[in-house]
Amino acid sequence: MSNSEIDSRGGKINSGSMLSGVVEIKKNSSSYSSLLRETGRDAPETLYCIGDISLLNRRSAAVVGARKASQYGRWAAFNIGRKLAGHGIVTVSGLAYGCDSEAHKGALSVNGRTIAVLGSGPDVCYPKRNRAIYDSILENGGLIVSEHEPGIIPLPAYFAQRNRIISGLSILTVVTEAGIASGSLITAERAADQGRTVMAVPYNMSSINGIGCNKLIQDGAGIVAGIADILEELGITQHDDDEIDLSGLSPEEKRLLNLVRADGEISLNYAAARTGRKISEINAAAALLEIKGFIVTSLGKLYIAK
Amino acid sequence: MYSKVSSVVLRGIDAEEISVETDVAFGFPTFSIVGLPDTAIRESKERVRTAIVNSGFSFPAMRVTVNLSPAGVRKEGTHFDLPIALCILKSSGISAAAGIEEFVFIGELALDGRINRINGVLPMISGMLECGMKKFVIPEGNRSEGAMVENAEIYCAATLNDAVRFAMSGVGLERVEFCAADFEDTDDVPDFADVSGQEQAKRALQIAASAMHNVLMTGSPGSGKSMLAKRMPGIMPPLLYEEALEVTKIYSASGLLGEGRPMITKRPFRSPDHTVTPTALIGGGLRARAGEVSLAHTGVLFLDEIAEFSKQSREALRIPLENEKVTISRISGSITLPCSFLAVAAMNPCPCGYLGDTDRECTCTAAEIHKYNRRLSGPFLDRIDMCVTLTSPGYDEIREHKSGISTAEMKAAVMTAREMQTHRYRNSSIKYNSQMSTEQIKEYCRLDEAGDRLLRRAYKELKLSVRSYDRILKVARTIADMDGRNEIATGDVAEAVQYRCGRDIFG
Repeated sequence: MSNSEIDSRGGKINSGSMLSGVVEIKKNSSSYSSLLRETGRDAPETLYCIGDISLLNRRSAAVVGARKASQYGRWAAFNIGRKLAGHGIVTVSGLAYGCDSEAHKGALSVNGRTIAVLGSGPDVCYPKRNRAIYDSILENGGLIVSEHEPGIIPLPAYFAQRNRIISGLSILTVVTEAGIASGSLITAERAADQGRTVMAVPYNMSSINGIGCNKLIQDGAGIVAGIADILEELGITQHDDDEIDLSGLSPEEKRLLNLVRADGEISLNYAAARTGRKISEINAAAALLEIKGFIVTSLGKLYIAK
Repeated sequence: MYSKVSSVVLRGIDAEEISVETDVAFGFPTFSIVGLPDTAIRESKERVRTAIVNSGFSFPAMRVTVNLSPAGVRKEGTHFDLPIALCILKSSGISAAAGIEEFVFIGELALDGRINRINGVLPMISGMLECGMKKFVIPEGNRSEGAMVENAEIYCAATLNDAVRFAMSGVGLERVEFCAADFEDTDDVPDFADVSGQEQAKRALQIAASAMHNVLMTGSPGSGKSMLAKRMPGIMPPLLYEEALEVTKIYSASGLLGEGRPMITKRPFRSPDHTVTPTALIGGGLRARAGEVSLAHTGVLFLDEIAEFSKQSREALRIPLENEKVTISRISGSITLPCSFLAVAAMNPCPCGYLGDTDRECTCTAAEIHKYNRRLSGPFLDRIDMCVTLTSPGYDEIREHKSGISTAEMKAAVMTAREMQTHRYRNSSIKYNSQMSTEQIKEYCRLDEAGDRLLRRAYKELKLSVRSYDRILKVARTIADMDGRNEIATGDVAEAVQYRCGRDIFG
């Protein structure tokens, strides 16, 4: 598809007047990401940016994954984003639903800086529901990047294309969740073509959501056995910033938390059967753990939050 | 010669006394009925004439005028045949026994003079009792329905001849004995023990039944939503006589009773299909029939696939859920029917149904799932007190578990909770915790310091809305009641938090 064709279909919704804050950076500019320039033909001639453009040349890692993500994938994306931000690494992602959102949110949870690469103009927040994240990225000194001019509304093809920018901006790319035909696999492929490191979060054999990740590992991607592995790959030693404080928990709560930790995810029914406690007690303990931020409940199951 | 007999007309489930007046005079032989009769009553001319002749009497070859008074009220139903026939015979010279004017006559005639069973006898009788009429002659086919009414003098007639003999002599018909129905028998309601696992959902339904909290179940196809809902009536307290009378009136007026089922003795379980029209759901139509919400009165209205109901149907549910009664306005006036029911709604987590399922892959996109769950926004969800997600059975099956809790075990706590509520609200207009107003929540749902701290923290950490805050308090009140405690413990609040609504199913 030629560029002119895309333009005619995508169209511009405004021109010139409302572009305050958008910075155009040409490929030959010193502000242009040197990592992205190295990729050669993957580097767009112009980047349209909103926010702190100095982030383009900071050490960064891409965290991408499925839009329709499992709780585990979202947990992984959030915590990787958070851990990276805690170590001064910029998280690059695509502002999509699911894993991308969580990666941004993870970085933002510790007021970290993060880059969102859009498939639309930099001033067009897509998906619209992620407006809060979009605003929060800018408030925290982050950056919105796009190869499209301001006002361009997204087309399906743009998303696959912008993935090369996500991987191009980053030293390494982590895939937190990918099904068998996931868009995240395109990002991983582009990253590999660009000569960058690809890492993937491992999944159960039985997990449909994670087959893509396991295949990536089979094909030679680095395995994220722990978040520290990503930091190690980036040449950073982890500082223990978050030892979990269990002192405020009742024996009942600790028991349930250990059960969730053992399996990663469990249903309340299973927890009741395993502990032999009444379902009412399990309900209460789960709610308390959730309020205290140790677990999250989703679709009737309990997951680890920290 | 002029004569008069009493009968009754039904408006919804309310009854109004009607006087059937007849005048038989010399003149060209005609037979006319006036007083806003509907087609069925106008046709009764032929039935009445033939039944009188076939019963061995002669139809007066005179000018016969029948008036149904008050003449301004629209009348419908075939049950005027018997009073009209009696009135005509009285006018043409049959001597009536003393005191016969105190009787209300109800019945449809067959051409051979037999009296046919009709619909709506129960609301007619109980409505007339309220107006001070205590004596009735009803069709033999409605005997068992009549036997449910206390403090009434009811006689059953099988043929016009029997009725005429009774009207002339005051004897000859057997009085119907009052016979209390058995409200305890719930044998044909399936048992919760049949459902293995799903203890979490069972617990939610148990709490719901304890104080009529409306509940929403989310789960994949085959996770047991319908199975669980069908078992709900089994854990609800037996019907009280007054409740049974009210429900039976609705069923009687709707023609849903039969000889084999003269009275509704069990809490109704209604499960309208998701293609149901707003009219069928709420009630209405040309003859203003009761809708599913009224047929579920005192029982359970199971709304399976609630997200697939039309927007109009879902919106139409708001008022019945809020007011516990529906008013149906028609050209002939408006009728009001009670509809105090427990709503059990169920839906899939996503359009394909398999989001979060361990065995099948969900084929929906993130946006589709979001849109699907948004269908249940706002006013409808505001009336849902509790939400629970069912995990797919395969998920729990692969791990061993005990056999499930049974209906009998579950019912015990429900009964305790009901007693607590009966006592608490004895001087109040409400009956259940779910009906509490904001002021009543403040009065009856006091938390101790730890409970208060917990709820405040939950409000902040879990981003609860003010509405869900109130609902959690109501549900916590019920959980304490199920245990027979007046104080709400911290654990009760925590458990109630677990059943909160408005959780983003897919974020």
